[in-house]
Amino acid sequence: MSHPLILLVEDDTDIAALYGDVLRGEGMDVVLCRSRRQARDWWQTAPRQPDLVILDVRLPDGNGLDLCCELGEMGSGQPHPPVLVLSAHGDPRMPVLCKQAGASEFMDKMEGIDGFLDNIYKLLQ
Amino acid sequence: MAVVCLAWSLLSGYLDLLAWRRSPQDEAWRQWFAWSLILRGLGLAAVLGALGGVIMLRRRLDRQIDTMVEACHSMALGEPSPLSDAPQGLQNLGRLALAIQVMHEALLDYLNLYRRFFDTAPDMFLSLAPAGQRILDANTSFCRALGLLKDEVLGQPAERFVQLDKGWDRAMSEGGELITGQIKGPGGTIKVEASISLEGSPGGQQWVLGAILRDVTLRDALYRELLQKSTALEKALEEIKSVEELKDQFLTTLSHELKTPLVSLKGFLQLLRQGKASGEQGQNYLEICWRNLGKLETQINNLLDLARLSHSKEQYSMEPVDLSGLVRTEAENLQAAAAERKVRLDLSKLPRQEMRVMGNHGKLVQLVDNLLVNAIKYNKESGEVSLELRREGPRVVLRVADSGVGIDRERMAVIFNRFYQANLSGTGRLEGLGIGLSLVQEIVKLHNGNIRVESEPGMGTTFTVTLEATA
Repeated sequence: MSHPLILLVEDDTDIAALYGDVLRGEGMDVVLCRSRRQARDWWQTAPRQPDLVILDVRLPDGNGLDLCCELGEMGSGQPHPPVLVLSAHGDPRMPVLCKQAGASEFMDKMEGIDGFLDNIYKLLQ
Repeated sequence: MAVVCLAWSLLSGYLDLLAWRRSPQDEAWRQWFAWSLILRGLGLAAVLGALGGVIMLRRRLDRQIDTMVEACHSMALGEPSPLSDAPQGLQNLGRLALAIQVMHEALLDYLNLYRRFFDTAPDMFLSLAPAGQRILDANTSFCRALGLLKDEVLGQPAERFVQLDKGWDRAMSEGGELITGQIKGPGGTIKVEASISLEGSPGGQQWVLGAILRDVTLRDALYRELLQKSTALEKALEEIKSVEELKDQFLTTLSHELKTPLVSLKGFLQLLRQGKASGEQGQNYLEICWRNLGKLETQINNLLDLARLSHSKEQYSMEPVDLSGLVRTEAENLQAAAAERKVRLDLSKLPRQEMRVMGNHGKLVQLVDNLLVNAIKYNKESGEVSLELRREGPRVVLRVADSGVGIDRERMAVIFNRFYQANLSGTGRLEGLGIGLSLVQEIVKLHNGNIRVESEPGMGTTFTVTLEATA
């Protein structure tokens, strides 16, 4: 059985390293993209769809929620994998906006590693 | 009547004479005829006397009527009541004269009342000739406003003194509504609001009767002042709203910028605490924690510095600082960050010799650092940041030019505003709290210097800082 493939879209080097290490520590394969464009390019050429997408809201070349919408459109009608949106944004409307963009779950980055892993396993099921 | 009596008397006498000729011998007829003649003579005399009396009375009444008519003409011309001085000549028409006198006095009272109202009114009243708008009468306020005597005003065309915005002809044809205009008086221009009284003639033409002018100079000035204040208030409200928006945006950014290093700190410390990293990896995690701690410290210090610089400048000690060395050192420190973003730092225009300014070393480091970081951050991939430092008379000029995205004209005015952060098109994430340029401006102010920005969207931005040189 192959390891779950996680697409992690995060521009902050340290946070990307943190989540990458945590996921790899759980035996998952991680593809890291640093921008919206990079994620889009990878998606179009990837040999297989990821099992889970983790998106940061603020990206250098756009908004993670817009990328979430784009992933849905690029799926040609096929359901795209669950999407977990992460943000350190203080905007209380964010969970609703994430749902509207088609994301499965929203998580405040301050929840820590345990909360992060709980969400990952919940969405992978 | 007298003629009828005379004719009757002659006719009856003639008939009596005819009757007497038929019987001239009759004594009774002769006596009757004699008495008849006597009586008729007396009657004729009485009738003639009465006729004379009537003629005399008629002449007397004519004279009295002439006196009264003359007196009425005098009254019409405004001469003082001649009727009251001539009651003796008006024995027959005395009551009528008295009635006319009473009526005259009543009319004079009314006239005086309106005259007083006309002359004491603070508004300017003009009585105008129906055609041609010549002034028939003008009250004191109007003459005072013009600084002229009444005689100099009467008979003159109204448009000579009063300029209506829409012109007298149009004002007269429209009438009714208030018309704005002006009067040129000795004290300057008086703004007026005019209402024209019009009356329709039987031929359907509009005749002007008069005009009331109100001095609205003060009201107009107050209105303009109010309008200015209202506009200023609206602008201030817009600014407040804009500041509120900036504040909200800042709080969101602050939350993000403080949380981002905290997320790394908390996450890596959690891994270390759970024993999930050791050895080299553990050391690496500690390095990351340390770096993020530094980021947090920088953000907090920037915030505190901005608050301090805005309110108390006296606490910073000033000393001669070599700006040339300082800029070179900071640029070299940021070489790695620039390389990471594939931006080249051009230091060829930095002088090797010392170039001193009087300043606070720490704050000048912050100034140069912020300008450089911005130039790197908002640059294009494979872009360039050029640094230049030169002496211009008593001043030292530092230029930091980038080949980045530039700033459009609208945003140029607000880039030094606190919490402003450039929003690059399509960019969702920017580092920093948007206080960098505001802090730079405060530091320049602290050094009594000057900062200027030139930019063209897509071509890059150049910041020029001028500071006083010192030996």
